[in-house]
Amino acid sequence: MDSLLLGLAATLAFLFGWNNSSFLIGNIRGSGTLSYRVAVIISIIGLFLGVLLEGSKMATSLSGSLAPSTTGTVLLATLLVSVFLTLGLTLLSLPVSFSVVMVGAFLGATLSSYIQVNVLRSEEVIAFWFLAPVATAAITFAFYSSATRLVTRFSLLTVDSLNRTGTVVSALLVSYTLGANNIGMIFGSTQSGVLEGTSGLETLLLLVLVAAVGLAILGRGGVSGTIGDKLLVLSPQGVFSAFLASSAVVWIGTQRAIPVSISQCLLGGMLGAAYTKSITVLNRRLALETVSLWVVVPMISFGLGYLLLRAF
Amino acid sequence: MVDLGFLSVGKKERAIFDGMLEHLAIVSRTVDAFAASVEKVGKGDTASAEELTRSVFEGETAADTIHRDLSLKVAQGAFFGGVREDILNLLEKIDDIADSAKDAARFLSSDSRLGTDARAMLGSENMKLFLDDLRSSVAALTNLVRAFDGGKAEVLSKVHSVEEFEEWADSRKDTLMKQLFANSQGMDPVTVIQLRDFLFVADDIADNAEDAGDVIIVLVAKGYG
Repeated sequence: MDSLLLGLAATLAFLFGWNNSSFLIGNIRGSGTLSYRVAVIISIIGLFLGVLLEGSKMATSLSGSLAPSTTGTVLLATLLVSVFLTLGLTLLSLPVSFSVVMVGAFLGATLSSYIQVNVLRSEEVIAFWFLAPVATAAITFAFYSSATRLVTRFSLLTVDSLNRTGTVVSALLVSYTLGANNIGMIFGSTQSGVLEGTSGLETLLLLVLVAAVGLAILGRGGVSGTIGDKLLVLSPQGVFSAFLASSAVVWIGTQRAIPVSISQCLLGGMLGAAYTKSITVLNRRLALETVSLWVVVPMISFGLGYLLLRAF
Repeated sequence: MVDLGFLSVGKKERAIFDGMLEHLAIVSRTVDAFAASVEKVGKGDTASAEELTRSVFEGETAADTIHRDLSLKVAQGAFFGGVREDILNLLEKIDDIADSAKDAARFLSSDSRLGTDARAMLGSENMKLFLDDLRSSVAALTNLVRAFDGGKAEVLSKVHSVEEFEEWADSRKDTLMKQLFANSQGMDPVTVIQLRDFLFVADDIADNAEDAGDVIIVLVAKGYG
């Protein structure tokens, strides 16, 4: 059971690296600032730092938080459903929220196993998911407004340098916060007394390594671009503001051991940036599709988690 | 203007920008040589005109060389990806100015057929003003590119000056066209066509300067978010 959980967690980490490549390296690659190899290296550094420094804060984000305890079977169902859904959505080139899928599957499986669900905590997590894009939009609006006023006094060459530096910094921040929050959460799904004797640090490092492999091998296209340029067109300062704000909100979630979706935050951030410039051209169909997934996917993962545990 | 050069990681970009100013300086000298050659033709000073025409051709070649080198550096990864194409476009438009000067100079290089009326037109006050507008449009473009070192407001305040000189040049070109066809009775038809085409191509100097100014507006829009 321990090896199976670890194997599934590693698979999920691999899918994480693949599916999140647009957030981790898409900005750098799209800006032409750095080569693909250097962009991947920077993202891997960010992932490692996030996991090492703050990944352990997410160890109790599922069991010990949403439920007082859990069983290996519940974790197995959670991971199986998560792998299935994330693989499917990744193959369809849709951004999938790992946190939403895992929380939904965990709650479904927990309920099915008659373990008490911490309702208040669940409400807190779901409330945070709704507030996160709003908070990101507000932070982005504030930051972007200030940034555009400030850079008008700079030379074009200085602005260009700032844009390129900002791209790298935002990639590093996103990698760091995603590593801490999402990989930390995946790590948490292998714990809770089930893997006694296993070094937590070794497991964390393994998951980061596997995520890095997923990013390096498969993170070239597909999901990239769905959130960014296909939704609406933003300036480099707008994109940087959105990424910075999203990283901040995800970081706050990590401090509260709340799994957070970067894609949800980014959508809020990009809308916040858009309203700074009174941009009215928005790919509404894509926005609607994305928001629908936030509602439909957790319901599906909840249902699958519930049914799978019944089947065990 | 706030100079945060210490924050700049853009050594490559600074080198390209300095190269662009050097490119403009060569283009500007090429246009000056072209204008001077036209004036010499108008005065009947064939020897000086030929020498100046040679300067135009050499200037255009030198501009081409710099253009090629700068374009290569940009293509190798300088500047933010979103503005790279616009920088290349700007370099192309600047080089087109020198190309237009060379093409226009070619029309007058074999000037043995030019009669008195044609020379009179080339040496007329209207032609002098036309050539001044062409020089001024390139000078305004140079000032505009130098303003990259300033802020957004400084760049935008100088864009219009390029357009103004281009409009003046257009207007003078129309006046010269009317003058040409009014006096065409006494001219060889081939000479009339030659001068007409000369005016069209010479006017491209200002047009290309204005096009370069338009590219700069795009750069400002993209760069300053």
